[in-house]
Amino acid sequence: MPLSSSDHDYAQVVHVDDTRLDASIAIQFKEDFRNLTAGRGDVILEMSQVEFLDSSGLGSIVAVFKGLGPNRAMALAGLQPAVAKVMTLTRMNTVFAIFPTLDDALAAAAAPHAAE
Amino acid sequence: MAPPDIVTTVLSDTEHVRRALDDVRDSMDAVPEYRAIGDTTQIILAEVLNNVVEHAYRYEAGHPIHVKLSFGPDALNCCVVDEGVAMPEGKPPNGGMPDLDPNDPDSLPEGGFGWAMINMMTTGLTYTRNGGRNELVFSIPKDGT
Repeated sequence: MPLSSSDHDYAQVVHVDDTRLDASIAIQFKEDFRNLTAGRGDVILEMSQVEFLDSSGLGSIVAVFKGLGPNRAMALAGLQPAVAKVMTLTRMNTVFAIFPTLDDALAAAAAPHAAE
Repeated sequence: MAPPDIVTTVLSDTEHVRRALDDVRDSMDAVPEYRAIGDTTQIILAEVLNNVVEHAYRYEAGHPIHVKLSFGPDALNCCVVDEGVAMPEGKPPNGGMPDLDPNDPDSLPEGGFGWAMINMMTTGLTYTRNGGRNELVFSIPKDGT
């Protein structure tokens, strides 16, 4: 499961380097995400390469979000149309902060710190 | 004239399902008037086929799932047949979308979305158990949902 991570000032970005987040990789996604983010801060899940998300993939995103606990935020960025459609149908778009691009998500993560 | 049916047999594991979906996507992309329901078809077929892998065949690989997609005038007509165990209670789950409380992350459901999406985006869903085979028939309307 290709996941990679990059560090930014106010969030860790986890990139999904695969075209599908589906039943065939959902379990691996959860494990790798937990390993990459253990003991860190807020997370932006960057999904611009993901062309397709199924209910198992969605379940795995919900699971890792819950795993972050109450004090860490997770935003989603770069959703392609088929992925956005699943988020809308399941109303998960009411749960997650969703940004068109990674830059938008990074700007939102930085905003509370602008006055510092 | 309608394009020829897409007929394929998929082996019962999530990798083969993933590849079959890619092939269906390529076949449908070649039919411009159905391109608008390409994403929906991918979503529905993924849920239906992975349900067969998970529940009918209980993750036992190597069993056949027969898929036939026909381009009707108003809808893509789909038939999926497997030789696994029957659906519980002899019918597909008819539930809607699970409830969400955005303010209570711990309560968020991690499953139950598959059948809800199938029920939402298909018409004429019919399940038949016949001679050790499950047959699921449904249509995906061309005008979208």
